[in-house]
Amino acid sequence: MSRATLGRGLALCLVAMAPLALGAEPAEQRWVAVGPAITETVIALGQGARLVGVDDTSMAVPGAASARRVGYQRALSAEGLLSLRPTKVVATEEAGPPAVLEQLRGAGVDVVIVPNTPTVEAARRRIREVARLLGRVEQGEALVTAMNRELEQAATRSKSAAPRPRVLALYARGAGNWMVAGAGTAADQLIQLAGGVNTVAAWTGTRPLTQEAVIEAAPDFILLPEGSLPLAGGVEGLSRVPGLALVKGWRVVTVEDVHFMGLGPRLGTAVNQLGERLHAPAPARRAP
Amino acid sequence: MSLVAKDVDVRRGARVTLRRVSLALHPGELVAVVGPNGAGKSTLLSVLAGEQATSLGEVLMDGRPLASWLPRERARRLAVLPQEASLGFGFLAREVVLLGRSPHLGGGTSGEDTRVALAALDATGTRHLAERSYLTLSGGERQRVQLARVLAQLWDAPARGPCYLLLDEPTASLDLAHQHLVLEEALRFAQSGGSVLAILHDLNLAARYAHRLAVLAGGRLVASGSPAEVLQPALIAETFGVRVEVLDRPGAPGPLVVPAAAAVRSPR
Amino acid sequence: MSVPDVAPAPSWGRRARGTLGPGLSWAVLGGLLVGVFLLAIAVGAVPVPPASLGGSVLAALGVDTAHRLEPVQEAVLLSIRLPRALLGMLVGAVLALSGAALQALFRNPLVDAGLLGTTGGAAVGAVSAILLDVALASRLGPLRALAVPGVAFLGALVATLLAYRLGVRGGRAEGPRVLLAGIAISAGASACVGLLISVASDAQLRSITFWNLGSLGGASWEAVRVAVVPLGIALVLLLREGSRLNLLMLGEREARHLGVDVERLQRRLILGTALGVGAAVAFTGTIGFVGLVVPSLLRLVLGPDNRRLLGATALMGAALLVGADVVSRTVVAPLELPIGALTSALGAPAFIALLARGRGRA
Repeated sequence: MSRATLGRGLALCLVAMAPLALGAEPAEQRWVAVGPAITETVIALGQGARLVGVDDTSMAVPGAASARRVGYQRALSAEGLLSLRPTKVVATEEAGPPAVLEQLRGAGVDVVIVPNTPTVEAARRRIREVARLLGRVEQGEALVTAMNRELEQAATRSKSAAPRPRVLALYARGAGNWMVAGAGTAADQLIQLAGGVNTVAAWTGTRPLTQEAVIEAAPDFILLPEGSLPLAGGVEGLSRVPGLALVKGWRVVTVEDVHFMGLGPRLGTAVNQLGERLHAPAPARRAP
Repeated sequence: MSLVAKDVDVRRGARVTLRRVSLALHPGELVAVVGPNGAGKSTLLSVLAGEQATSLGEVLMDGRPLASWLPRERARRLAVLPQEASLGFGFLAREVVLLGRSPHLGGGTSGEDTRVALAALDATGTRHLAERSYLTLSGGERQRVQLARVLAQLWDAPARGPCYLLLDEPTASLDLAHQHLVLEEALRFAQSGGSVLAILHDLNLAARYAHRLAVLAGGRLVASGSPAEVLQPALIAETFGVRVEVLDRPGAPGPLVVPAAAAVRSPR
Repeated sequence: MSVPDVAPAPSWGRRARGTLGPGLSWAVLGGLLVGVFLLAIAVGAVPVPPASLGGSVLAALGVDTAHRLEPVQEAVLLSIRLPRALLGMLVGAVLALSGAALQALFRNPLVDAGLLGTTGGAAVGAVSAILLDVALASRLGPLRALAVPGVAFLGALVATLLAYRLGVRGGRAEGPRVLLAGIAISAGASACVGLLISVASDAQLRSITFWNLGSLGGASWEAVRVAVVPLGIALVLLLREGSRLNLLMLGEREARHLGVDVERLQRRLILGTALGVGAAVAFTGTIGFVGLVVPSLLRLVLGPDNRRLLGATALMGAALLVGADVVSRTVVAPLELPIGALTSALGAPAFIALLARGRGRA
């Protein structure tokens, strides 16, 4: 490569970064959030403007689209992140590679790990922790209180309703590659809180969908993230998925993609919406 | 000082490919090994080259078992031209020949090595190919470049001590002129004090250039001696299954073997 | 028959000192590497003005100037770009050099460490470590960063040495047998990876995908310190074998008759490439085509003589990988392109072009 190219490359870089450098005030808190539940909490606390970067999966969070994409949470780029001049990186325990986090710390960035554990208690802790980091403790408590109220509502509804609907949570890893969410997943929590039964609660974590599993599960509902439905070719296409084609009588419910990835501050709302739909009277039966 | 196979047996599984073969290669002599296909000629050559272990018997070079020589020491005294070379990279012909100098002090890089490589190319009539890629050469040209390589390996060696050149069908893919050129070069090597063993198919070439013929059949050494002694119609009929006339030509370097009419019957 | 002429022709044999081949010298290759290295230090998502860089260097020497690097810029230079460029250089050199050495060993210009099972074994190791990451993380503590490379390296060594052992018959390693064994082991390894992937969670699957595409993103001083040992040993082991490899190219029989201890040479080469490629793949994931394309391209220019080729290949491989990394981390910043995908995207067409050109000197 010639010296001219090198010079041009440098010049281009400088031009590209100039506005960013000018806009940076030293006192400003610039955040990079890694993990949709964290991103969601920052936005719910009214601090979305602080987000200069979010990871790939956070891009699905409403209101996060104005931040720059920093890549997949396990394959972050140290210099890429640093070019956004963040003061704080708040990430789940899955963020990495570890060497990159070390390099960020070495460059003076405050790297905070907030676990992504899919339990309600962890969700409350997560909200309080993020609120504390943002100096919005009261707003954080308000979020937690609101979430608790909604969850109680949902619990009351599901207690009165019987029998509990059987739910199979699926998502597409890619077209035609279906995975089932078992115990210990965010989707499993969502189903339980909404008063349903996860039909594959005997499994831990996610597993590939098998025909026999579906037949054994005999679900009343198929729970999908919104983003997976187009990959199936809509409800129509879903009924042609091997296994699902063999069992009749199920209905489809969807939630926002982020609810499959972690339990965020809108957990209560999502649980209530799901509970309503799970306990709504079945329409006139038609074969799926 | 000689390269000697003593009562050698070679077995491959149940098959015996050599049976009690003894052969000595002395300084100044060119020995041709002849015999029908499958007689064990190539096996004998690889035993003498140290490639093939013997089941019984031993191979000595200058009184020491061949296997006990350091590889590099051995390479300065013993060179082998395989029947078919498998070089698949585009070395220049002169680079191939220089590789033959690697066992020596210069390792193929000294002025002396260059001088020798050049002379070896000349000796095999391949100097005009020196700057050509080996991959662009014809089969016969490759054969001669490889011969130049083994000649370079032992160049000037006869002057320093005994050395042995083993040639596996060196004339196989050559035209008539080059067959003679190659064997003349081999003879010159012998005359300068080295020893040559060559597997040959053409009995007349063998008769003309070899000091001694060794006839193999069915893994046994059936005859050994000067061309005039060995090339008898009865022996040839017995060994090759061909009826021949052997014409003695006074003044010529060896007898002439001519197939008789209706020469071929199926071999035993 | 011509009379031997003992005076060597003047144009014969030696090249001018330092010259490698037409238009190529050690100075050109070395200069290329230095240039690319400086570029890698200078360019990236975070802008580093040369004036500040100069100022900081002067400050370190005791001269006070107005221009200084900000702490972030200093961290980017010293703890991100520098180790990354160094690791890239080492890995690129080893991948290309191993390719050249294996091609000479098996007398086949299409061989690289992928065919020996080295890459496959490393993949099994890396994927296993990724799957066990949570279990390992609690026990390993600060060593966690080295878990994936460590296990991948072991996988590479085991697979390669197994291929070699399977290829030995009657005390001698037979080239085609070793290759066949390597291909079988690679197939087995990819079956293993497939099985492991089917039980992987989404997050693990993504990690596996990224590992598979290769990246220098994990480079740190710690990684460089650990990796430099096997990579350095591999470079030293392989760079010394140029002349013996030339003889081996003639054929194993021929090499033996020219005084080469072929078995020892084979063992040394297999061990060297397993160490080197194993470590390279372990720290950076699969980076394809460097071992295939760099030696083949240089052979077109320099001819097959390994005494020149090996060193040139190492320099060129180093420059290529560092250059590719510069591209991978600047074109879509703040994201990064996987460097393995980049080298394959460049390498595949280059390789097809080489094949289309015919055998020539390659």
